[in-house]
Amino acid sequence: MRFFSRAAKLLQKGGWRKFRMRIESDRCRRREVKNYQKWILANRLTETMRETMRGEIKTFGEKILISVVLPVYNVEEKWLRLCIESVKHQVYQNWELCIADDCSPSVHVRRILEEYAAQDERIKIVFRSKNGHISAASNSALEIATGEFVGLLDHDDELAEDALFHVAGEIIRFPETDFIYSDEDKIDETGVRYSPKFKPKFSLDFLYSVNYATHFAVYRTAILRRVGGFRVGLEGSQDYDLALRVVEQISENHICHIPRILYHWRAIRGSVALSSDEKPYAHERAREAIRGHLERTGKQATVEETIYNLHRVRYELPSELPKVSLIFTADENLKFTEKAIENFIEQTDYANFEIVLVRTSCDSGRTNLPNIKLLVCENKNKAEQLNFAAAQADGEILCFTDANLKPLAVDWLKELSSFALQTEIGAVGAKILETDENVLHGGLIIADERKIIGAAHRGYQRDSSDNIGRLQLINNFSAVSVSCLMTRRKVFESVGGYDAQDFPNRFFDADFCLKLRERNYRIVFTPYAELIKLDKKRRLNLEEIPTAEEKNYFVKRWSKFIGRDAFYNPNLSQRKADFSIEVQMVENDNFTAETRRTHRDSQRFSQR
Amino acid sequence: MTNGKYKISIALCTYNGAKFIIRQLESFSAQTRLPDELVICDDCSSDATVEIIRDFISNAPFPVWLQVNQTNLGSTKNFEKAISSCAGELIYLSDQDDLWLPDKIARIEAEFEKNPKVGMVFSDAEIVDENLQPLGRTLWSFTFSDEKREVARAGKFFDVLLAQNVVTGATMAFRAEFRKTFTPIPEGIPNLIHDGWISLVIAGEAEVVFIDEPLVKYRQHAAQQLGIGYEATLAVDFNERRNRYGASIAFSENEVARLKQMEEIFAVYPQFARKRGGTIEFANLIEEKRAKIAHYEARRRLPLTRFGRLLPVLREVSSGRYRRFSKGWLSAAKDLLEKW
Repeated sequence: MRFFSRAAKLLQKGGWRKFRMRIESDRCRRREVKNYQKWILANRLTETMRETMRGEIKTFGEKILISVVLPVYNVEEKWLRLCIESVKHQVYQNWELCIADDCSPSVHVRRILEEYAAQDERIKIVFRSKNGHISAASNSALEIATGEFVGLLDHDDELAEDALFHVAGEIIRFPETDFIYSDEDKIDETGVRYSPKFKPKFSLDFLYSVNYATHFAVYRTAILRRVGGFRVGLEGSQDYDLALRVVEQISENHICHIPRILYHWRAIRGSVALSSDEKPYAHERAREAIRGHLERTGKQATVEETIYNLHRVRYELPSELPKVSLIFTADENLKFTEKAIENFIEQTDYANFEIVLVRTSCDSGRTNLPNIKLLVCENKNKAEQLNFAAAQADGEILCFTDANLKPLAVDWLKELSSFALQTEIGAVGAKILETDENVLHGGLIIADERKIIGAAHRGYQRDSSDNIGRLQLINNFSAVSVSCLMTRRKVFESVGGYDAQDFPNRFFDADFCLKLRERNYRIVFTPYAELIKLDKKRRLNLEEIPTAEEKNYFVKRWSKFIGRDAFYNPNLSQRKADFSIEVQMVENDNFTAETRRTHRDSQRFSQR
Repeated sequence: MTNGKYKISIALCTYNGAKFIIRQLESFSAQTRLPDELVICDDCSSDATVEIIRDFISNAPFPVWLQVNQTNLGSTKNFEKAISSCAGELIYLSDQDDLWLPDKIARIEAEFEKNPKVGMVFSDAEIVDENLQPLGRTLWSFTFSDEKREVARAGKFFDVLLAQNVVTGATMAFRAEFRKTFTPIPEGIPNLIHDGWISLVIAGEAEVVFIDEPLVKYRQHAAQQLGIGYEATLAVDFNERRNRYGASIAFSENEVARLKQMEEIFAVYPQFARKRGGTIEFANLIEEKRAKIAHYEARRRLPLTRFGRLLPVLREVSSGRYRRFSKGWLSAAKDLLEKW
């Protein structure tokens, strides 16, 4: 009955089309839920894998002691037991468990902790004499930690059996590592795991939007001590604040993401895992933490609340706005292009911009639009046309976009340029929608050698919260599409613009962004600049089909990223690049270890 | 990583094919050996073709590249575009309204694997009606007779092709390395579209294998873009049959025009000059076509009365043209005796 009334409501609100789309997306979600169960099955630890790991541990040479810091307060007995057991059962045994009981009124807590401490000398306990809330309790636990690295665990969560093994392995392979985080999922009261978060490699702009890197987080102890541990007053977001303060102290190259589910976040009533509304105070404190970080790093920006109680960073624009050149290529139908450009002019509240329209000489007709820079480029080659236009434009900022699009809100150009002006950001892209408001592009993903490039979230609903909200939050990708790509002229020129020689029609945008990645610039996607397609039948002007040479050369040129885009995740389908979970029954364990390692290497590379 | 030894691309051109395109696409997904990519160029369809393709793409088991042209390029240029985008080592051409049998890709790939010198492989096709019901004949029964196959097996496939194309696009696959040689595909030559041109070029350069088995269900229907027509084989009576020779004559006249243009092209295209240029007797081929035209003209002009037909039929018999272009004595007797 409830189902029908819900269906009727949906139909009434959105009409048949929206209803169908909703059904379809529900179906997808259910399929993904099932797929995750299959994935768990395919990736479970077997005895032979444990043996292999133990063998590998023997080769580690120097033993790294990892201290797991566990603040405890009034937790139910069964969760606390599961939590401590999950540490005890680690394949990697060189750990210590530093527990601080925050003066729990429930008597069972003390009993259990003492019981475990008696069993295992690696379990160390501080009983605080008075309750000080989570930051103080965490600091108490941190005080007794003697390991070189510290991992953070909550009193009702669980670590995967191989969590410390993989962490130690990363540290051995990359001894300069200061901060490690992994993928995570949720676990319900009956032990069923669900809702995996397959995360991207370290993405600073994403960290400003959501605390995505906390579970499982491992820090170099010395750095935690240097930043003064957990901050009292930011309870609920103390882990977020810690991550931000650590990140400002270390080089990005020393941050490592392990693309494996190493942490299970218990979803029980009263826990933040279940709903973000449960602890409302945490969100405001999170923004306080971000504000503090922005202040300390000298960034002129404010933080606002956005959907799901998460965060939106807004960089301040200078009082004198730098000139932006909006660059279009002409459609065969000049009338259509003109109308589209008029739309753009109407839908833009940025005070200082020019329009540059480039067309091939064979196009007929004249344009009646005033105040636009009309260029004629004999070359049919799109990349060449754009390079030509960029050279003639006088803006300090270049914004390549498409005359089959229309901005949805007038502040789109302000939003984009606020990012483009940041010195560490190389390029920024917007959310591009199909006429029916489904997503066309939300950043680009480097897929496998057959798919090559995937448009992130293509076909998703505009307001989809899937994939850690990456469609709704500012975050980083390897590349953004030329359908709307903004960059500073200096940056554009520093890599010689688009590679019109090798990528005349297609992929020059991805190629450009990857070159920027090599130079350590960040590529940003912002969902707060939205452009919608005007004419459904007409394709985007710059969506030419690639030639065989372009495909083959891209695969060759960027082979280190093909099938292993670090801003995507190796557990997701590389073939489809649509964030669907890739379930692969792998017989040979070495093979997975190998592919993960190469994923890791490509991350390393792109960091440098 | 590919699905087999080679990386395989399918080049598909579409134009207002909404009615049948989905079956064609599904037959790709149902292959025992999936392609590594599908490249589709839609030539400005005004019906739902593109939407259907987009729906298909969202669940396709292989990557699909779709280009929707903003202006109509025409079949040849569109195929050229699709082919130029294929990144595979083997390129399979496809029409928009057929059905590939499930082992088509695998069977053809096997031929390429067997012999690295093979440049092109094509097969027979089963002719079916709009509802995929067999019409009882195969494509080769119209285009690639046993005789021609004999000649082809004797190593003279190029000559067979030159006389008349026997390779239908929907049944062929070739190595991508020949793309350089056959592009640009010339336009405006009568009786020669992309498939004829491509096979001619490749046959001039490499070995060709034909699989004597239908691997495609080839749809025959009114709206077909590039198909074969029914020949005047089942004429009801003499009078009607006589009138149908008009089509054959027009066809042969186009053939003469084609050969003349080919002769010019042969003089210009280096690959032809290099391989075969010296040996082809265009004059003979053209003479052959002209004789054929004369034969059909004569048969068309036969008077209606049996007595009046006697002399012209005897003249044709004595020239031997019944034997060369029709079914010999049988046709002569028919012409002589049939009621009108």
